[in-house]
Formats: sequence, structure tokens, C-alpha cells
Amino acid sequence: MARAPAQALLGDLEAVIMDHLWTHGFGDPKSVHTALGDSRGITINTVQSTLRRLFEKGLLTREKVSHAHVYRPRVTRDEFHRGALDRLLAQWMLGDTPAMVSAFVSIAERAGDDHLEELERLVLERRRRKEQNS
Amino acid sequence: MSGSWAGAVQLQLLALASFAALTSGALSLLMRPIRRGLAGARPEARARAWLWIAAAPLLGAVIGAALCALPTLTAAIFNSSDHCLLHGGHHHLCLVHRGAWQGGALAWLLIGALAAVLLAELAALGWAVFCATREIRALRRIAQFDAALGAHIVDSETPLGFAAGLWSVEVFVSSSLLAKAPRALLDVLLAHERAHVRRRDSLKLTLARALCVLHLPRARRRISRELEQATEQACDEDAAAVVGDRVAVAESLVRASKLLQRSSLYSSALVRSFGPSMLEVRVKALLDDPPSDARQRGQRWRTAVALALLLALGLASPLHHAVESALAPLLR
Repeated sequence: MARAPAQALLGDLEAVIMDHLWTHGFGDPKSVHTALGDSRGITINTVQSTLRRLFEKGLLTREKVSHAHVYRPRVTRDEFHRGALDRLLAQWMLGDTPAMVSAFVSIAERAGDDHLEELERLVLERRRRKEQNS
Repeated sequence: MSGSWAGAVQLQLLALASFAALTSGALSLLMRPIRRGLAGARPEARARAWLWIAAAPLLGAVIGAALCALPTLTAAIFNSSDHCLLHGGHHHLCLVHRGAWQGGALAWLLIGALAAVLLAELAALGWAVFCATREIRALRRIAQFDAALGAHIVDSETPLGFAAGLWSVEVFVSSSLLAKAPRALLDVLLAHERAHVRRRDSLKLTLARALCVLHLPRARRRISRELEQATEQACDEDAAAVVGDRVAVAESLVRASKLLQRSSLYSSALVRSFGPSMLEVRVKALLDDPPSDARQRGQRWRTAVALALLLALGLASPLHHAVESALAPLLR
């Protein structure tokens, strides 16, 4: 069974916040907003809800310190990037592959081993005939 | 004779819907002979034909409604007596005279329901395109561009190469494919994916999915699959022309499939498979002799379509009357 696509890839703000947390190790909504909010013109509520969404996606852990949640990355940047394409592929395999994606071999179809061997045999046979003719 | 604009617009909308439904129903019944007729054509011509077939209900609706409007418009322009004045008995499909029909609640309900279904389908497609655009943008952000390959390299254990994007299409290759695939396979794959970029296939396939909302569900699936298959085969032929060996492309397809299916993601996945696989069709086509030049066949199709349009122009007046008579029971 394909891995559940808990989330495929990140939205723009999610990516910026994850980058910030991967660089600094941890942060609460206020500190993240101080670092990113002004330059992006977003409110602390937006930062708070994005952090909560990332926590729900399983990318962050959190602990309550005083009145605020402090968030930390659950996976490293490398771990996240390494699995990104696989998560996306799992999502495309389970649902419809978007028409905007054309893979060399179909993402959504799977030929059996016997079938592939039969095709391989046909290719070899054709190659041999071609070489004999030339 | 003057009446309500709402009634006239309602009649035109009903005519449009009727023509779309007729075209889509006819194509659904004719799907098998159409497939057989296109089977021997070159993939590029086949892809073009399936795109036109996807657009056929929309074209049928527009052309049918235009033909229906022709008798009244020519009468108005040349100031001659027209069909509306010759026939009493029923409401008229005419924007010039606009019969006494004020528009009925039942007909509006029907038009509203049809419009709601179509809009819901288009909205779902729009949402899917939006999500895919966001995912591809995010993928590009984490990938590294390799100028020598002309492709984005994504760190992944799944060996795969693909072209992605709507307006700006780019080629992506996984690091695992780069590590495992021989150079010959990579050359074929890159030539194939560049053909997708050059042909703007993503845009055409997305457009076809949007146009297919006017088709019946079964025909919709068939058209999408045939178009996708013809598109892939057209890119296989392009790749074969680049590397100069059709068998090498077939060989690369089988090798790439083997690599992909042995990856951990695929070996554990429940991937859909129905009918003869697209892989089999593509490989066998490459092992056969290349299809003959379809220029003559294309010329015959264009002549047939032109003749059909001329015939339809000649039959505009009876068609106009037939549609009015067919809609009459709905308007009582």
C-alpha cells in the first residue's frame, strides 16, 4: 500500500516558515512573526494558523511554554526534501495524475514482471532481426 | 412580432444544449469505429484528431446554433420574409423577431441544473490545476537545475523522469534515475520529455480535460486515454528521430518501467492497471514499422468536414424548423 500522502509539498508561506525553523531550530508564533511577518505583510494570526497546520501535517512538534506554543521541526530539511517527490508520486498514484504531468513511463499504471519480460523479449528479438538485416 | 429577450435567450440556450447533447451522444455511440479509423494514423495526427473530438460537443453546439440562427439573420439582413413569418404553431428560435415566448420556469430549471453541473466539473478541474501548479512550483524549489542536462534534479529514491507545468513546462529527473539509468536511456528520456515541452502537451491535455466535461463519462475516459496515448507515442517518435533508433526507445521504455517498478514506492503500491497497458501499446508500436505518411488521409478528413459543413449550410432552414419543433413540447 502506498504511503498515505499526509502532505505532498509545502505552500509558499509554509515553506518559508519551515526554512526559518530549520535554520533557527525552534520558534513561537511571536518570534516567527517578528522575523517574517513585516517583510511578507502577514499578521501573527496567519503565522499562528500556518504553524498549527504544519503541526497537524506532522512536520512540527510543539510544547507549551508559559502561554505560547514553541514549535520545532520533526524532520530535518534533508529528510523532508528527500521524500518530497515520493509523497507527491504517492498522491498522484492514488488519485488522478494531473494532465500537467507527463512521465516517460506512466505513474498510474503498473505492468507485471512477466509482462515486462515478454516486452523485453520482443525488443531483443526485434534488435536481433534488425542486426541480421543490416 | 416582438417578445421577451429572456425567452429568446432561453430558446438559444436550449438549442445549444441540445446540439451539445446530440454531438456527445453520437460520438459516444461512434467511439469504436472512430478508434478503428484512427488506428493506423501517425500518433501526431491521432493526438490532433482526439483533441478535436474532445472539442466536438462544444463545436457542435456553436455550429448548430449558428446554423439555426442563419435563416432569421439572412432574412433580417436582406429584408426578406423568413421562417418565423411562414410558421405559426410554435415558438421561434429567433433573436430578431423574438416570438411570444416569455421563458418558462421548467426550462430555466433545466438550463440552471446543466450549467451548475458543468460549472462544478470545471471548478473541480480548475482546483486540480491550481493544486498541481502549486506542487510543481514547490518541487522546482527543492530541485537543483542541471544546465548540462537541461533538467531539474530532484533528490528521490524513485527512478522517474517527467515534464511538468502548464504554461512553463520543465523537465524533472530524480537523482535515483540519474544514478541507475545508463546514458542511452537518459538520452531517450530527455528527448521524449523535451518533445512534450516543445509540443505544449500539458496545455493541450488540460484543455482536452476541460472540453471533455461536455462528453458522457465513458466517452470522456476513453478520449482522455486515447489522447494521452497518442501524445506519448508522438513524443516516442520524436525521441526516436533524435536518437535515430526506434528500437532503442522501446528498449528504454521497458528498462525505465523495470527500474520504476522495482523502487520501494511502486513495489508496495496498489497502482491501477486496466486493459492492455499503455506501455505495451507504445513498445509494440515502436517495434513495428513506422506508420505511413498520413497527409493523404488528413486531406480526406478535411474534405469530408468541409463537405459536411456545406451540406449543413444548405440544410440550415429545415434544421432551424426541426429544432423549434423538437423544443416545442418542452415549452408548453
